[in-house]
Parts: sequence; structure tokens; C-alpha cells
Amino acid sequence: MRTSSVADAELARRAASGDGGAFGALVDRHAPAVRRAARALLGNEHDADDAAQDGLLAAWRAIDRYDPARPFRPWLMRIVLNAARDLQRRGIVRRAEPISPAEAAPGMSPERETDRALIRDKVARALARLPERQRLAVTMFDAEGFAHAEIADALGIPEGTVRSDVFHARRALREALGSLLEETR
Amino acid sequence: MTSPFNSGPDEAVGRLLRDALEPAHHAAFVTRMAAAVRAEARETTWDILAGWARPGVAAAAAIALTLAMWLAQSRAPEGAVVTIADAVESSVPTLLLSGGADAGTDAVLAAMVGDR
Repeated sequence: MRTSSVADAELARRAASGDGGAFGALVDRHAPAVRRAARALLGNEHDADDAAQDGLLAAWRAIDRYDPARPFRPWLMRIVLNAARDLQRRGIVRRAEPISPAEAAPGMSPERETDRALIRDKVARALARLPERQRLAVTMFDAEGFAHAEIADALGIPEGTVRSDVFHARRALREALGSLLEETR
Repeated sequence: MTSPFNSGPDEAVGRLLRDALEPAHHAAFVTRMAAAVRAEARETTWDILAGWARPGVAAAAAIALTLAMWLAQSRAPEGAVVTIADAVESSVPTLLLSGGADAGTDAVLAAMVGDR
């Protein structure tokens, strides 16, 4: 059976019975979102990947404690964000680096690569100026499509606080990225 | 009027954020994770075996000691009390390791057949 059509809860059930392939399918499905969220928190791609790997391994160890009656994504996100915070607490995060044009868009013309790298850098800087909780809330809501309740579950805060964080973060981002946002619409 | 706190996702903000945070080399990351999970599974198996080995060694030592005491008791003169030290001293492994006069096939054979 193709794992792409299998629900998260079913893959998690198989993984809990020792099926590494099922867990691999979950990683393939959710790695982009958890890596982006870890990067929003830590501000550095390499640290984000270390945290995502630590968190995903922790999820593999704890998969038999996952409750299939609840959504899988917030459960996984909470574990990965805990791993990211742990990395941050231990003070081993690297300094945030500007994004290089080659990394930004391999295969593009040099001018477009430079433009795109500049845009990404500007967005990353605007995001970095937000308080940590707002950064995570707006990334999870606007970029990853999490519901307010799921974000509240993953971050361990009330849903009303998530709504307020998304609102304030978005307002700050609109102020910082006004013209860019207009071009994107 | 709809509250600004209840609005849906902002597509333009979402697109810019996804682009700025986009991780590179997804396939390589997934492959690395799969290897880490396999290594973790192997490690766990060895941990379980190691967990079993410790009580196993202790149980084997206890059985050997009991056997040695039983053998020493069966060889001792009527009414003599055999201590653990006597049992260890006269046990087959001790004789074999010490290379004493009694060591050799006779000792092993005696341990196997007892007083028969």
C-alpha cells in the first residue's frame, strides 16, 4: 500500500509496532514543516536541522505514547520545538547567517538568485525581530496551516493567546515587509 | 464585524515565510533520519540484550556456587560443615584455574558424574 494515502494515525500505529518504514513515511511527510518551525525558532538552518533530527528521534522513541485519537502534527511539532528549545538552552546554537544566493535558489539566473536571496534575508530579519512565541504562532498559522487550537496544543498556551500572537506578528511583518507583501498578493 | 483575531491564514505572509524558511535537501534529510532511526533500533536491541545478560551472569554464578557447595558437601566426611569458602576452593573452576594437582580431566569428570 502506498504510504502517501495512509493517515498519520495509522502510520504512527505501525511505527509503534516497530515499523521503521512507517515512521520514515511520517518523517517524509512532516519534515519540511518541522524544519521550518525549528528554523523560525532558532534562526539558523543547521541548528534547525540538528533540532529537527533530535526531535524526530525523540518522537520515534515515544511513538508508542502517541494517542491516535488526537492529531499527529501538533504532537510531533511539540516534541521538535522542545528539542529546539533544549538546544537553545544549552547555548550551542550558531549565529544566524544571511542566506546565500546559491542556497536560495539553485538553477536560477544570478540576478534572480540575488533578488530572491535578498527577499528571503529581509523576511528572515523581520521574523527574527518578533518575540519567539509570535514567530512560532505566525509561522505555524500562516505558513503551515495549523489551526489555532493545534498551535495552542503544540506550544502549551491558551488558544486566545495564539490568536493574539498571530495578529500582532502579522501586523509587525506587514509593517516591515509592506511593499514585498503587495508584490506577492 | 469580524474580529481581527478570528481571520484565516494570510496567504501572502505564509508564502513569504515558507520561502524564507525553506529547508534545503529534503531527500538527504529524510535519508539521514532513516539511518538514525535504524541505528537507534539496533542500539535498543543491544541495550535489551545487555539488560538480559547482567541478571543472566548473576544467575549462572549463583547456580555454579550452589553446585559447588553441593559437590563439596557430598565429598565431605559425615557431619562436617561446608562453608562457601570451602566450596569455592574445591570447585572445579577453581581447581582448573589454579592448575593444582587435582586439576584435569578427573576433576571435570568427577563434577559431571558426582559420586556415581
